[in-house]
Amino acid sequence: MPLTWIESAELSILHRRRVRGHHHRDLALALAPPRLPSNPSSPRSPGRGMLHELLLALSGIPGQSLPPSKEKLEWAEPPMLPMATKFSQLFGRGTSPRVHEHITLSRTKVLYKQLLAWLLQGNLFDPYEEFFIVPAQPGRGHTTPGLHPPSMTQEDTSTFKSKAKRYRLKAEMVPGHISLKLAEKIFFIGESIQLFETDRKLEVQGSVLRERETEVYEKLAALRDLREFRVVEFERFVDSVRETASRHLHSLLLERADLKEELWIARNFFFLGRGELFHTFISSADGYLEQAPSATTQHDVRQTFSAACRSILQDDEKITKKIKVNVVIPNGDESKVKPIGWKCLTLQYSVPWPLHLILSEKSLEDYNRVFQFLITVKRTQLLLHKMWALQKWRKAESFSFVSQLRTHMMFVVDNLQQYFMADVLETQFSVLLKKLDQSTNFEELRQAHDIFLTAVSTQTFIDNNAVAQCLNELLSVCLQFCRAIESNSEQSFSSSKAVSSLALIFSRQSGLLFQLLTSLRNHHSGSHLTQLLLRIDFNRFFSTHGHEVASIV
Amino acid sequence: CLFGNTFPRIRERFNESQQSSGRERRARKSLCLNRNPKILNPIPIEPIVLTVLTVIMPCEMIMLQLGQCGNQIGFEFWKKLCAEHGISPEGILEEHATEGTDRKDVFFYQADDEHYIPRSVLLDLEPRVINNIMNSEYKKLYNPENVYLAKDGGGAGNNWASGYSQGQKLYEEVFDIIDREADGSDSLEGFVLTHSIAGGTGSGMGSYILERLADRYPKKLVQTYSVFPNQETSSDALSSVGVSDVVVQPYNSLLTLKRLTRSADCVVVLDNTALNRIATDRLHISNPTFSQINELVSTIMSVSTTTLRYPSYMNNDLIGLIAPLIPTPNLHFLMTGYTPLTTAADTQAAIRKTTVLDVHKSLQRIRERKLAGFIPWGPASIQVALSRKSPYVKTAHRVSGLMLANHTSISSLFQRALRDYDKLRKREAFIEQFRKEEMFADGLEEMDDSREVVQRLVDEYQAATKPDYLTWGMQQS
Repeated sequence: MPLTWIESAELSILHRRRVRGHHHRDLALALAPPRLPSNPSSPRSPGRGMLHELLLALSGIPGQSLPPSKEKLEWAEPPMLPMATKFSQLFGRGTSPRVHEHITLSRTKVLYKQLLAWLLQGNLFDPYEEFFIVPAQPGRGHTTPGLHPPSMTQEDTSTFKSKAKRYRLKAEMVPGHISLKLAEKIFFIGESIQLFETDRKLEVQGSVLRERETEVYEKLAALRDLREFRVVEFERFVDSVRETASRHLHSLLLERADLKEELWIARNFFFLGRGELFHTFISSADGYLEQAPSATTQHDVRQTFSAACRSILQDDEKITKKIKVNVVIPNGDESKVKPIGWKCLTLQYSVPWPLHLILSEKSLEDYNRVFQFLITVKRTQLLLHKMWALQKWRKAESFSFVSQLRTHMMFVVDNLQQYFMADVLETQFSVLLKKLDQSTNFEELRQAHDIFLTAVSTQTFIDNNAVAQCLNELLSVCLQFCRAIESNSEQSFSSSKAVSSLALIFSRQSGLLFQLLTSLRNHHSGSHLTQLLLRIDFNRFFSTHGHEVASIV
Repeated sequence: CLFGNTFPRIRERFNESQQSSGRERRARKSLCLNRNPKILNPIPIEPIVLTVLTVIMPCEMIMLQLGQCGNQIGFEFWKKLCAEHGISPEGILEEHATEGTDRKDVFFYQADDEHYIPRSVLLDLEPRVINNIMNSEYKKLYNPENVYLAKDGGGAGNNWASGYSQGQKLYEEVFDIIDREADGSDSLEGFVLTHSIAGGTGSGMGSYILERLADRYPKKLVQTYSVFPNQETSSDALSSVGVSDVVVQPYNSLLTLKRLTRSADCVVVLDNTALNRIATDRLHISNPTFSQINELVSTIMSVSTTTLRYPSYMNNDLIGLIAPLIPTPNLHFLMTGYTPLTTAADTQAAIRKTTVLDVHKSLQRIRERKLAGFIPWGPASIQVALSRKSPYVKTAHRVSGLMLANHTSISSLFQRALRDYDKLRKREAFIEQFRKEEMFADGLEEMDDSREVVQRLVDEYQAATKPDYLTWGMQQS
């Protein structure tokens, strides 16, 4: 490719510079691979080949290949940007200020052109892939978390299928004088506009910046026409536009799309807020889910779930359409023990447009992790209650070893459930709602929700391996106990070895849990830990008898 | 050939039938087994396929109101429930009741779209209270087939034995009603019985019904709201519920206590003395009247069922509510406390919602000040469920609290019952009233047996205060 992109004026400057031998040398050195500041992995690296050509141009060899027509020159202008950036970086301060300024300015002009398209229409005007925002290729490379929803599976009939194109921020393309933070802001604005413009589902949401379009344009033009690139002013400008977009998004989410209502729904389902619904579901679906899932399990469980929804929520068909249960059969070794259906159960939630901005795919994954844990707790609790009734029907007259074990188990599980539902979820959720009410822009909304999710996953210990494992084992020993009671008669069971070994495991695990929580509280003071410990050790049974429990057995 | 043709349809059907309940599944299975596939005709399969998947809703309850006291309490309870669910005295859903997230199905069933009928059976041996109910504005609320009045209307004369034997005689008729009601409920969790243990009908007939319920419905829970007689001398308690002016009350109570211990799963003790104390101390009613106490009882009943009647993340069924409270089969007597929580004149505090944090703080306070003693043989704590209140009822107090506790100190009530009984029994006072009934004609073994059961209950409560309760329990069996 000939050097068609250098303006004649510039070329003449470069030609003049050429006599400066040391610059030439600098440039040559700069081209040596280790110092090359370009990213070799980028699809079309603007660096090496072109720089080589530039070097040749400086040597004056291909001078005659200058484009003859003005028109072509204009066409040729845009790719200057990354080139010139590199160029100015290479030459650094050693270059004559005028040259530097000239290169910077022409670079800035291109940048403004791209920004204008991006900030006002959410479009890319970037035929040479020089802009730091590029179309996202699905499944390739690292993507900055954008505003766009993940692609959904085909069977999904969700209401949100954003038509908006997806973009990503390419960090390595951001020019040196624009900070990454600023670039992210720019990215955000264009993405929001994109979202409003292309997915015009609600009448009002369009023309975010329409009323401010002229103003924005004028400001941008003024900045462009400056002799130099003023970072501070530019940043102020970006901030003001971002603020408008963000406020607009905020009101769209909170008022039009009723984010709070949606969060209630998410809480009611993922966090089992509607206890009676999951009570019904768990008792009805246990037959399908207590074994390893088969090909039909998902279908059966879905039917059960929607039947439970129908009978409990009655008129709320809107909600049942939105939420489905999935039973994902893990594909792994045939030899491995397959997990039971309950472990494979997740919720599929079609987030209505544009709430995917908050309830992103990533956060739904977190919701599902909490859901899986909570449903195990609830299931264990229900089964233990069932055992209570079973012992009653079997006319177990007096207090026995089995009833003591059951009572202890029920105590721990009931209190865990109380803690998760009341101390963690109820509290964090009301904090979230309060923050949403106080928020004024989109970032605050997103942040409030992120904080909520983080708090929930921290306080439910799903990210704390030691505690999570201990809790899981504790619940699993309770479940084993229930199954053992169900399949044995009271007498044969209470004298069996199985019950004493279960009791041993249980007391070990509950003792371990108590120790883990106590040491956690001593290391990081968290009020949630104090709450949980207060609950399970209310009569100081664990702190005084914890070590003895095992010895009773 | 026929089989080949119908096969795909049968497969489809089979998949569908897997969604149906166990009973239908079993029915289908046996059908498949019994039929030779070669002559399988698709037509008989049709009716089985039609069923929609039935799911078990947590917690549907049938209320049995027995005797004067039981019916009065029950009446107040339904009044309160109607108000809370926005149901008019005629059983019609009020226009303002649009919120719709409450679970009316726990205590009501729907006759049609807006007509709600209480799952309630009204039983009495004398007509006065039931007639009052059936002449009130709520007369259309109840299913008239569920109201049962003994034909002779003579009552049980405050005699447990008379109530019990009339219960025996009326068994068929009474259980026709109860069975019909139970059959009509898809996912019946249990029965709630309201009665007093002092009089004749509630205690005697109640005892009989409790025994039969336990036989007929061994897998259903039986909860009672039992009004205990006033412990103070009868002279200063004339104005309150419970018929402590009944001279044979100690006999009645003891005989009923045996059934409450043996045949009920959970007894909510409505101790008249305690109720009076709540009324005077908490509600600042200096001389609580009969109806004020009844009102208080119905409040306790309705509040203790709020987590069942409103969607919530915990205690969605009766078993979830009582199982954690009752670690051991016999010790199933729960005390109640009720208080409207007022926060002085501090309006700021009154507007604030009661949160989990408040609960947590008060739990800590209770622990630090050792306001409650706990069993030494296992972990124990206080669980607090924050529940919504009805949006349709305006109350003077924003927040109110109900306590249900299983505390060993309740045994003092039973000890007192034993003492009162022993006093009468020593003198053989009024015993001839009982000897007249068939049950006691040949001797008073039933009384001795009841005394033993109650004594054992007291012993067990005392054993439960000691660290070696488990050893005690193992020795008993």
